[in-house]
Amino acid sequence: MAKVIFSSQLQRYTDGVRELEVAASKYQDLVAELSQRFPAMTTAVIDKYAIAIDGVINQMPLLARFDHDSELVFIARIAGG
Amino acid sequence: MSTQKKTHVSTTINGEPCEFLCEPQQILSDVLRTNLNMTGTKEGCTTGDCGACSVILDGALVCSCLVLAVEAENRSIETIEGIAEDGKLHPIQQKLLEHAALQCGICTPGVVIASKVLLEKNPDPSEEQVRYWLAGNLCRCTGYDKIIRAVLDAGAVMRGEARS
Amino acid sequence: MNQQVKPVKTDFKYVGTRPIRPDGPDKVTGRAKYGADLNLPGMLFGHIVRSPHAHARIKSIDFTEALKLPGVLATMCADDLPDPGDRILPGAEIEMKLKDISPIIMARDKVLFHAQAVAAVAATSASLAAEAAKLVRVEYEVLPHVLDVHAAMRDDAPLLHNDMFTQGMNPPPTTPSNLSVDFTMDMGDLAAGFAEADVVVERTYRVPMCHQGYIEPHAAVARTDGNGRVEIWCCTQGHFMVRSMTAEITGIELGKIKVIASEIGGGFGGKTTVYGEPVAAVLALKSGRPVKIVMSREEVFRATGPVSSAETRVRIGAKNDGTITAIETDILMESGAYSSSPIMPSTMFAAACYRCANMRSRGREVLTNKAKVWAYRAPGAPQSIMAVECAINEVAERLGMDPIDLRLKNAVEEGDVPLFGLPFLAIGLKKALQEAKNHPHYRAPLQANQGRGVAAAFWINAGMQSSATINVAADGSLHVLTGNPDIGGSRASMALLAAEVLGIPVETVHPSVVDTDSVGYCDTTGGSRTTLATGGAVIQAAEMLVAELCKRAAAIWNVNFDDVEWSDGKAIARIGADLENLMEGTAAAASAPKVLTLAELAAMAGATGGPLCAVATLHAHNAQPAFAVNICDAAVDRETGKVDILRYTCIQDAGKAVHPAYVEGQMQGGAVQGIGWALNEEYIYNEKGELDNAGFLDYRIPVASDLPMIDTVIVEVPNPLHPFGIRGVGEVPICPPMPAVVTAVNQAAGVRVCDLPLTPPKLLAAIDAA
Repeated sequence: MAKVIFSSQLQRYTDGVRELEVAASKYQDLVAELSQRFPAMTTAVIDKYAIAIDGVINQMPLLARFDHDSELVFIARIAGG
Repeated sequence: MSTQKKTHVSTTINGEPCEFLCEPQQILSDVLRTNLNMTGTKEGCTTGDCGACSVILDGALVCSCLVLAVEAENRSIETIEGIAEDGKLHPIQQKLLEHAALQCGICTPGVVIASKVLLEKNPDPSEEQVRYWLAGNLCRCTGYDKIIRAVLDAGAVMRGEARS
Repeated sequence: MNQQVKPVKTDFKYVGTRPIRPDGPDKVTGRAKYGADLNLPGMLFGHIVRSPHAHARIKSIDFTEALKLPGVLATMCADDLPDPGDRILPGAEIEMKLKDISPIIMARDKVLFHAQAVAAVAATSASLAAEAAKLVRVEYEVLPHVLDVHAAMRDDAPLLHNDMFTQGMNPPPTTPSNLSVDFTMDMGDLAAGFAEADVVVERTYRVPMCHQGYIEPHAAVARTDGNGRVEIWCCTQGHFMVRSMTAEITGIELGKIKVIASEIGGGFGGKTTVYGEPVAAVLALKSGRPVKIVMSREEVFRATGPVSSAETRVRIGAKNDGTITAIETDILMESGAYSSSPIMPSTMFAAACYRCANMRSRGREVLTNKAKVWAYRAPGAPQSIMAVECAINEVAERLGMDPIDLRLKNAVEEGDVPLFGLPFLAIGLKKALQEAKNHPHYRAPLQANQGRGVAAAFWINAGMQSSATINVAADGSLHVLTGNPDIGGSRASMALLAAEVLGIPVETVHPSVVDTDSVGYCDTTGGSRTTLATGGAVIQAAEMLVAELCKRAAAIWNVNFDDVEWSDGKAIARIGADLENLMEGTAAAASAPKVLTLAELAAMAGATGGPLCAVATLHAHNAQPAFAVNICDAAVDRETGKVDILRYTCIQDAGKAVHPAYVEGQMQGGAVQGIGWALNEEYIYNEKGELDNAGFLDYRIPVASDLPMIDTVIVEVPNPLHPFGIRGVGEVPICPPMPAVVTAVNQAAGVRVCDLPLTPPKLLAAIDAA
């Protein structure tokens, strides 16, 4: 089961849950699983973030896949200059 | 203002006779760039603060944005387009390239012009002298380090002390 | 994915050398064409009408008098643009609401800052357009304005947007305000961390609003063709961005817009958006003539996107042995009139250099009636890192510890997890700190009234999307086409990368930045991504070419593809090398390798399958952070308050420096921008909300006589995810200089001024008070 780690910002939508093991192995399934588990965590909320899979940031993760031992961290999108 | 008759000006640019029509209030940098399509001279501010529009007017270093185009009558102007002779780069131009002393390059024509006037007046300037001479040429990309090194190096070449 | 990454290349023949950049000769001779350098037959000149008020409702716009002037051929205002509604700009780096972008191009209903664009005219000469602009009658209902973030947060403050409900608060407030963002990130137990500290330092530092200060004002020329297609020539950090923004703002179909990037005279983040381009496009469509719009220097300062100011309260706790036990930052950032500030990265990255289990960082963004802010190098990071680094230096002082040793003790390494949650892979912070410690600058003695400051910093670096096309000409020369405007020598790097893969002299590789029709999509030149991502696409395209060339050689020689290798610009088949072992006596004849050069294969392209061309596109997920350390020596004249920067050294991890001279250039340029921001640069507003110093005379950027040589040391800890180990280098250089300079100056003067810039009057007042 891949592990999702929620920052303190996102913990507002997860009722304080900091870490969660998820059954999903594809990003789209992950989004569905999270919004089902945490109704406040809508797609609109999730879309504001990029996702880092094992430390590698993916800003358009529509087709992203991950392993059963992957660590997933949502990171706010930022822009360079 | 815009309905005033244009003024006819006869001048010399990079050694060649040149005539143009301009509005009386038009600045020289604008005439060079718009009327004569000589866009090598750049405009960063049009208030004489940045040096990007530097040209040589009767041997003196000036900001062409502070010169009315009509003042060019019967005078002699050198611009960046005339610095390389017969396709051969001037030592200042060559050294700026070798030292990677330009990033965006917008200040570069002004730096070339200003440095040329310096090295012709003072063939062996100190680092401090180069820095103060070029204080009127703003650069936002390089931090000036490589530009100063290039100009000092070009001076050595022009004095015959170094290979070009 | 626990992905298997190819081993990073470490031996290079061309990468790491310093050839003269291919676009260099044109730049030193004035031949290179920048945004304002294009003149077309029949061209009109556009001029923008700007608001004289900092906050007002637009009641009416009347062009009648302006149109009476002969030669005034088109006008426009927000009525010519579609209503932005709630549309989000598709494909942007971060979420951008069109209603925060469109009004910057042309104000709609309200103006929210002095000099905001309200209307535009196009006429047959620049002077005529300026005259006509003065005749455009705009009626305003003036509203009260607010210019200070603290005043803007009060309940009775003038409200800029009645639909602004603070983001980041849960639940969001029910009353609108000028507090656009308020969020907090934390990890560990801050209270416990401070409880175990022997020393606690708490300060508030103010960094002013400033400007990126590029020397070239924004300029664009737009023209249409008979098909209603619009072609825009402009100076920009991203012509694909110009295409999509112009389409969204004007309603012109994306596919009908072609953008050509001119050479660009500086950007530093300020040219990653549009200002005049959509206006020129609309005026060109309305008039049927090409339209040129060039901003004046004054317009650039007043009405483009300045850099957010910030007030950062920092609190750091440490044990006597130097272990940092708690770090707290509270950043209050000014965004101008629309929510646009980099409060997110500012909050996330403030203490990214330090391993500390207990951290909290709060970020608030506040709106004021000033121009909407935009990006600078490493947006947001310099402002908050400024406070943290100064506080770390103060902790070192209090502990009697060397400031580099304190940093070495707490510096993040591979495996450490920062506040934003991403564990670090291999990084170069400790190596850079060690280089700083061993550098002769650090050991040089100081005299009276002199001080030394050290600072470390981080920037995350972006990846994003890039494309590259490589065509091989019949003589074996390469044309490398990419879509990233060259702001700092990237074309030279593209050539080096292609030369490296093909094993050919870099002089035979011709790199170009081509228009939006001629290469695949490329995200902007910014975010320290061009060498990594666009270079990555060039590497991929070059590798595809090598595979194709080997395939063709194999076909010519009638051998297996696997028997052909590519080396130093040649296809080589070592057929018979294995036969040597089987058939004695045949070794000599059989082992002579077959060779075909790139030029020979190129000449045979038609006969072997057709033109040789490779196209690569990618979405780079392999960007990795950069760390930098700066050392600054400064002297202060106690009579005048003048600061002299005596010596400056920059150390930075570049992963792999493709063209080291241009990496050095980024380091030096960023350092000097930081020096300027620390000592001189700030936006000064009067009480009407007008910028008092809207020119280079009074907005004083560093000049050549202000500075010494800037020494550079490039450290290379390869990016483990990139085939050549490349890390972005363009932005992190601006992150360490402010704290390095401020620490040095305060030390030299024996004061602790926390309010930047450290101008002579401020220093003198502090010296006199001390």
